[in-house]
Amino acid sequence: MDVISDGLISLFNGFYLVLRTAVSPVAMFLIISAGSLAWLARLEVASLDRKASKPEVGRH
Amino acid sequence: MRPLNPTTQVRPRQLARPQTRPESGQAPASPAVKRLASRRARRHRNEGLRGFSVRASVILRYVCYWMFIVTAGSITHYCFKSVPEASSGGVWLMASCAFQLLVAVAGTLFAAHRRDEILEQLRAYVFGYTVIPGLGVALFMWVARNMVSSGSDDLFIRTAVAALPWIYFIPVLVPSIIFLRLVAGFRTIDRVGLDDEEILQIYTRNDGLQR
Repeated sequence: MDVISDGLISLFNGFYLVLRTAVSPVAMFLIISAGSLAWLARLEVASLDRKASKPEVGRH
Repeated sequence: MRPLNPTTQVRPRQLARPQTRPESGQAPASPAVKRLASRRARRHRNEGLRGFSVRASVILRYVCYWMFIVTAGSITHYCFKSVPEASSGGVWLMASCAFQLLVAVAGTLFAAHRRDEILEQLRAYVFGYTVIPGLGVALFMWVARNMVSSGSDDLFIRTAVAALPWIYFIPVLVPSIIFLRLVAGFRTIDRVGLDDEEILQIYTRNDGLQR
């Protein structure tokens, strides 16, 4: 039982550490920047897709 | 366009294409997967391999943007670590960049007709007005502090060491506010503030401007 409880405590400590790191301001800024850049990259790729679909329309 | 086969009502190319059989253990493709596959097929048909490389370069460019912001923030944080007035300067830099990026994302949602312009302005504000000037001030500050600590009594260097932590906040904080105002203005920038009479006077050239 001790082994199991020690393992569970280590696991919860790990989760707690990850949670504390994730809610730190720097990590939040990193995540916000990455998410926003991903959204903007997706928009630019969608814009490329829109431009690329024009020749197919013009061919007919 | 090829004519339809009168017996099967499908085109010859569709007849030759192997059909997926759900009963062979393979799950039927979901609409999202079908949409993705058709987009990839159309891209390949129109642009070939170059289409994939162009899109990969766009994504790689955005990954590089993120890495540049993180690297600049880390270097700035290192340079300002021992300055009491701006000990968390790198965090401020990253906060400013995150704020501007969030504003740009909101702008692409609320002013969708100006998306390309928002992206161009974002690049100018984040890299031209915030990250590179902030990094430059931080590096200059680091050099100046090292010179002072090594015994230099130059008046300019001493003034710079006292003033630079405060000057640093100009490129880091002010562009965020200006960018917010810029993006907020995109929503109403095309609106005309004239009433009908004034518009008609200008449209019919009865505005007196021709005399």
